[in-house]
Amino acid sequence: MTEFEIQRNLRAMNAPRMPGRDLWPAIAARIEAGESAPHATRRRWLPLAAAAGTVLAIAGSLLFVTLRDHTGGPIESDDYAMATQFQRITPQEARDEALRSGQDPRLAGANIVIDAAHSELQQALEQHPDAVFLVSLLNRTNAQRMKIEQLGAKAG
Amino acid sequence: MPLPMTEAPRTQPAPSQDADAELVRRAATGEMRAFEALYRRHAGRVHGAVWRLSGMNEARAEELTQEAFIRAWQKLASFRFESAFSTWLHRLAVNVALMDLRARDPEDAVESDVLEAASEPVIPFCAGERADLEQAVAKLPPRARAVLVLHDVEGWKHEEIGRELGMAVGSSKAQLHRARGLLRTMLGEAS
Repeated sequence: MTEFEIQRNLRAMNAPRMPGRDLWPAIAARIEAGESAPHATRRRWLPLAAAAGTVLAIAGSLLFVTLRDHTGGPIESDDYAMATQFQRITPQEARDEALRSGQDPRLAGANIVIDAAHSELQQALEQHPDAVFLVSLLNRTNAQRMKIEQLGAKAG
Repeated sequence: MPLPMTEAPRTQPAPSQDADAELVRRAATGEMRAFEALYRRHAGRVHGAVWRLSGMNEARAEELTQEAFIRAWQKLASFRFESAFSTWLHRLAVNVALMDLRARDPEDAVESDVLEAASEPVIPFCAGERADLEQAVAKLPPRARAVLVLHDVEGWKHEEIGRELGMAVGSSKAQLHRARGLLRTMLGEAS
């Protein structure tokens, strides 16, 4: 098959395709079971999204600070305090929790903030599943989580 | 009481926007029959999109189709008629499929998936048969398949794909290049 034929056949795949069975009875049953009639959720997700965005920004700052700390840079204690205060825990509590769970205590604050951001974004996305920017924010939290994990692995 | 099914066609004509708008208004007040009519009109397009993104997995696609329509019902009040309902619903369904893909596709598994897909020819293969191309697409690693389907089948731009999948435009282009290469390899090896 030539490149042209592949492209032509790929474009031809963009056709509606009915499910093999009627899905409506199952959909109707789930709707009726949930009693989730259409309701005005307009903009209700915005405060959540804004909060999640703020948490993500803090997480980014905290990760940056943690990275600098890891590479021998000065500790930005104000940023760290701000991030942990947002979660209403002290740095000492974060370190204790990290030690209990076997994590690197230097990364505990960043992990907590990332978890909070992820949770809030998931909640916002459930309320507004077609919001593209929420998916992007969620992906950014996942990327930052991976950076933290990689950093933890490098630190041993 | 469900509306009667049509004669199980595999394709549907494009629904008209005016009729959709009227049905959406009625469904938004809680009228289930109107929403059922929307399901009947759009099930083919929604199911087709999630079926391709799920790697032509019929059972998974049926679950995703159901999920997409449940979410659409729940979010109907937030539809503001600024775009066609079909566009809004399609985007919502793609998001549902991509969320599912993300949950099932740890990024660190992609590399091994790529190697595996490249090393396994599609069997049987007869040049020009669409079913064989579908089989090859289904064997692509999930993320590469998503980019290929969204770009080459659904006609999305790299910028849109990057936003939806949370990757840079360059990464989207690289994934597309890789997906096309894998397709050529699989189809070429088998021919």
